[in-house]
Amino acid sequence: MSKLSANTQYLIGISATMGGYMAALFGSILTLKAHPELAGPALWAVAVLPALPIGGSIWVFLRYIEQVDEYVRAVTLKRFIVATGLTLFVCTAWGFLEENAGAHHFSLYLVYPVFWAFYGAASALYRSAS
Amino acid sequence: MKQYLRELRTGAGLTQADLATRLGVSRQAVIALETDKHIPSLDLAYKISGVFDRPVEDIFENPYRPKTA
Repeated sequence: MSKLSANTQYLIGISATMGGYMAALFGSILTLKAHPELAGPALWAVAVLPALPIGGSIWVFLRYIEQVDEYVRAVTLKRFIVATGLTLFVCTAWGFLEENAGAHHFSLYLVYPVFWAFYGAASALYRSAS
Repeated sequence: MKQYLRELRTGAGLTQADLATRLGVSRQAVIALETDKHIPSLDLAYKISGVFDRPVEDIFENPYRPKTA
């Protein structure tokens, strides 16, 4: 069992996954530029590489929620659920706008920062779970 | 839910940080409990009851129990 606090473990985990994200992003871009002949599964593997640390950061966050006390968990979960709902709503609405009203194309990898922007807004709005 | 946590804590000479340590929760959690922003789980209510050696209903008023005159 780890002796580090949940906050410390979270900071270490997020720093590691964000560091991994930067490395994977530049690694992926540089590899794709250096090897334009890549195709099939190899191309898919290199292209998707930056998404893997993002999955890791979500796992770190969910682990943090399990480790904190019931009050912090309740508040954090409320913010997480509100941010998830807003992200789903906005992305679905934008999808319809793209499809039916010619709105500018929104790249799906931007969904992740959009979620965290909504999480920040939810954190400002919800200071308690009640 | 009406509660008497702050009165009991100060009566026992404990700070919010002291109580948080004894309960194994954050100070934020103690503040939320004292300001009615969080209703504790049964497990946490029993822990609080253990710290003050009082029945749970002496600390958290039971709104569902009929009042006796």
